[in-house]
Amino acid sequence: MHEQGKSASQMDISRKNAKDSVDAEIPDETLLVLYANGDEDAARLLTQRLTPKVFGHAYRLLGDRAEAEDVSQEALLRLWKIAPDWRQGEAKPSTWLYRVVANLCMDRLRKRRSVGLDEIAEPVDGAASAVETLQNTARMDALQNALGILPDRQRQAVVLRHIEGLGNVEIGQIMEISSEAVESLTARGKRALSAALAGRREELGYQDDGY
Amino acid sequence: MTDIKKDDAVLEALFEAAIFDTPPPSDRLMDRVLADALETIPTGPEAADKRSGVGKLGLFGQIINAIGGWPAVAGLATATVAGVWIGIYPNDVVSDVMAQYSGDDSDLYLVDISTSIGSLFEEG
Repeated sequence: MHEQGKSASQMDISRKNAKDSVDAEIPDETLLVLYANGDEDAARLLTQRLTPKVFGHAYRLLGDRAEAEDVSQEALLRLWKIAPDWRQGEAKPSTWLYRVVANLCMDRLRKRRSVGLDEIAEPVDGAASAVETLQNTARMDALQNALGILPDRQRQAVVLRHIEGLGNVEIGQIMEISSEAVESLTARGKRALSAALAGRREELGYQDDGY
Repeated sequence: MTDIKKDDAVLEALFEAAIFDTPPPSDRLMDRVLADALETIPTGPEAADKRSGVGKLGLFGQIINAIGGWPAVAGLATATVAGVWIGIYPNDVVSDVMAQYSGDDSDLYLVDISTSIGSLFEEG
């Protein structure tokens, strides 16, 4: 029997919203155990939840969409493979993934450097950003370019801290360094970024915003 | 505001914008990742056993499951402790019941462990 005043479709939507909210409360680690037990719904939920995080991080480290997609797929494939042997309580799946993504990205960045300057891809895909009319795109490209000139570890620490919003302790676990070392890396990274962006306030449209 | 402070403020604004402006993964990537997940998903008897809650439990785990899981183990432990307690410090009801079985003339033979252990400590 339907609740009074609610159509069947409204009931379906309510049920779906309730299910989504329950799904959102299930920790990644629990879903990974369910996945290891052969649960396909867990596979779908983990894919929806983790792929954007993994891809976003890879993109910020590499500045290249196609490469970031390849790295994301590879990192998640490693997670699927390790799932049956996952040691619960040691690290969050997202922490583990950030570490794998960083390692895969560093490998690619090293290979890029070894192929010579002429063959290096533009740090930001969509090199036509100079002619983009959207200011936000220009701002994001400016940030991505500035990130691209940082040493790899500084870039990783800055992205994890200031874009992914992680705390120093978790970043330390991901990078396998102390919280103090994380603090030092992010501070140096920010100084270098500020220097790289110095004098570009007007170009990026910040001159009228009190900056 | 000094130039350095202005540059820092610009950087903070860019970080804030980047949090909300990180490009989403393409549908193609989502499909590829899910395809990998479903292709790699553990199947077969072991995963089925895990789904049904049995399988790689080991002998101890299987024994615990056989007697009803951890609640049953807790019950057994409580009963054991209670039995030891009654054995050491029997109350009148226990003594009376035992007397009915063994006859009024017989005394119960009780072992006073606490005294024995105490004397051990005293002797060093």
